[in-house]
Amino acid sequence: MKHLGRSSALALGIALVAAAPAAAKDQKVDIRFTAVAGDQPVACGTPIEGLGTTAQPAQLQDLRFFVSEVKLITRAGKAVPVKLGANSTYRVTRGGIGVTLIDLENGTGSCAVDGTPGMNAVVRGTAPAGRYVGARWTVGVPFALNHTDAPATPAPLNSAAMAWSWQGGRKFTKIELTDPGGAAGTWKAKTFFVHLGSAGCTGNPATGQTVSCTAPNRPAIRLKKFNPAKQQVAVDVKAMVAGSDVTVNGGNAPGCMSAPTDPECAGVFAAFGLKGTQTVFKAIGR
Amino acid sequence: MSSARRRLLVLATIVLAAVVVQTMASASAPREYKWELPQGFPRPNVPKGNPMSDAKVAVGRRLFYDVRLSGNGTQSCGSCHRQELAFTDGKAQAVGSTGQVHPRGAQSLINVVYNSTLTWANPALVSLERQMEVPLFSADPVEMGVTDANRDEVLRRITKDRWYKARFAKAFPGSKRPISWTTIIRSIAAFQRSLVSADSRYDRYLQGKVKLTPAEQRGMELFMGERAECHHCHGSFIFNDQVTYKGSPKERPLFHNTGLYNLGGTGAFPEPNRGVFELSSDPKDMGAFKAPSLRNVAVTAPYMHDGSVPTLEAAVEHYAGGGRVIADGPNAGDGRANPYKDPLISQIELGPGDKADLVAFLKALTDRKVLTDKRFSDPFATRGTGGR
Repeated sequence: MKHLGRSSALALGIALVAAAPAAAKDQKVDIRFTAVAGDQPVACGTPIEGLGTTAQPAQLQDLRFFVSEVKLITRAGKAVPVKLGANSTYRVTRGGIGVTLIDLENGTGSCAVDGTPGMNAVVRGTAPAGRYVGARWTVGVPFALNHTDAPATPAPLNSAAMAWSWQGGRKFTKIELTDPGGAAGTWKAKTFFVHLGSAGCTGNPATGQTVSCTAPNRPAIRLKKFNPAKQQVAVDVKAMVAGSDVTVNGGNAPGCMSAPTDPECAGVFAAFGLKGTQTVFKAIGR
Repeated sequence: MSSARRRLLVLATIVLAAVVVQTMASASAPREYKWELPQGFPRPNVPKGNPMSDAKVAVGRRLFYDVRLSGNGTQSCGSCHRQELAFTDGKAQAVGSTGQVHPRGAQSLINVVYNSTLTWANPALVSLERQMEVPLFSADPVEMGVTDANRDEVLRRITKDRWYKARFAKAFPGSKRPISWTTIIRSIAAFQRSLVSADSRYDRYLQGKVKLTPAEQRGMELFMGERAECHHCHGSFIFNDQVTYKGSPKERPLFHNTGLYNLGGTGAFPEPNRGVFELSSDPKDMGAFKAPSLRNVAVTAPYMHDGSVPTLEAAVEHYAGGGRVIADGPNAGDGRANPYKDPLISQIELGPGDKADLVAFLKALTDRKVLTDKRFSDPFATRGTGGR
């Protein structure tokens, strides 16, 4: 009995040792996003005050964006990839590439145009256990998944609203502001859409595949000080349009749909850090 | 059992199994699709993931004409691509299912399988499957108006239909879910690829079956010659300069500014119709559009990407002048002096007779058969219900 007890304790010990690496090695990671305008929360149906160079009120019509290549940064400055959780409506991993759709609109009020009731504020996954002091990610869908057949790919890449079909890809951001007065309002252009996506794409007629895009337009975001356990990431629509007059369309699409010559894109590209330092994302308390 | 009998039994089993396997194989392997290619037409490129089959083309034909495929059930692909108009709609600019006007006109689909790029000015759209996501799902402008909110309902209209239930299973054998957006798109693409035809007076002339009239003959010589220079951009077997087929040379698809506009002398075209520039923002792409196939051109008026040229005579006049002058209004400008204009579009010395001859030749490119070919017609129309 004694012998038996010892041997089963030994077996248990071995089992523990065998299981231990997996259990102790990884920790859960939740990177939570929230929409703000400066220090005010943003929601569908509630006017947002003081936007753009002319400090105008606006309504939110949509607020969705793709996040990929998420990494946590150690104190030594090492970037450690976050492995996404199981596939879901908002999360997919294919060929080792993970993409999450952050959806901060609920399809009600001013977001009823083509919004959806479901929301997702979190990038969920695992990372090796450790202490992390910062985070990095890419806004957008990596090239290998971006130019895939939308209806044939799993959610969230099959969204019609997020399709950028004339370039055979996806809208990386669908952040839309509208005149709070609607058609009777005072804005000269009634909408200010921020659709970032890869532009200037060409395909190979023999294979039917997209070959390259001259303007990838995938903002690389880095928060040097960010504690995912205690903080969340604020998406600041006020900072996003700080350099633009949201009430006018100086040319091209209303707002910025990624054309380099669109006058409204200069401010938007700068805010996302496509040129210079980004100002749209910041760490705030939970 | 004796060893001889056992051997015989084993042999019989093998033979039986072989017969069964072979029967199964011939029953499940779809018959190879038989292209009906006009003389001189090369074998088309077909994406590996969507091989052609008669069953798939049949499903695609019905879907193409099925108004249930639009969000509000009012429009089919065939609404803007009418067979009798060589799969165009006779309008300057197409109108979507919700009434929104498209900035551009619907293009012919005949011989579309040979097009390197699709739509008027988009180097990124190189497969019919991917192109179809635009009319189905686009929100600006709305065409078919399928959205995230109604896509399941639209799909149910198709999955509930008995005809489709039976035929999709044959078109996509072995598929767990034969009816999906993917198979809908693939079927319509297969139908579109089947729209190959070239039976015009010109083709019959090439085959020695008919003689061209003197005017058609003179027009052809002008068209192919260095004086009118039409063939530079309309010189392929489908009379464009962007063709793809099995073994075709790898070439960059060409787009041309033909001097239609020159807003304020800057070279600009009116938004949102600035051609490839809309996508590339490269000044050299300002006003650059695809040279469309001129087959059946006589039945596809009005002309140009925005339908701003009403007749064949006016189109010939435009090219003879090396561009268009718009005297007043928001689009005023001398297109002939557009700095981004293709150097091939220069003024041509053409007499009135020459222009009439060119028009006569262009009219000889109409394939009457394809405009009524039963294989491509609206299956709903035969029941008198109207598919559109």
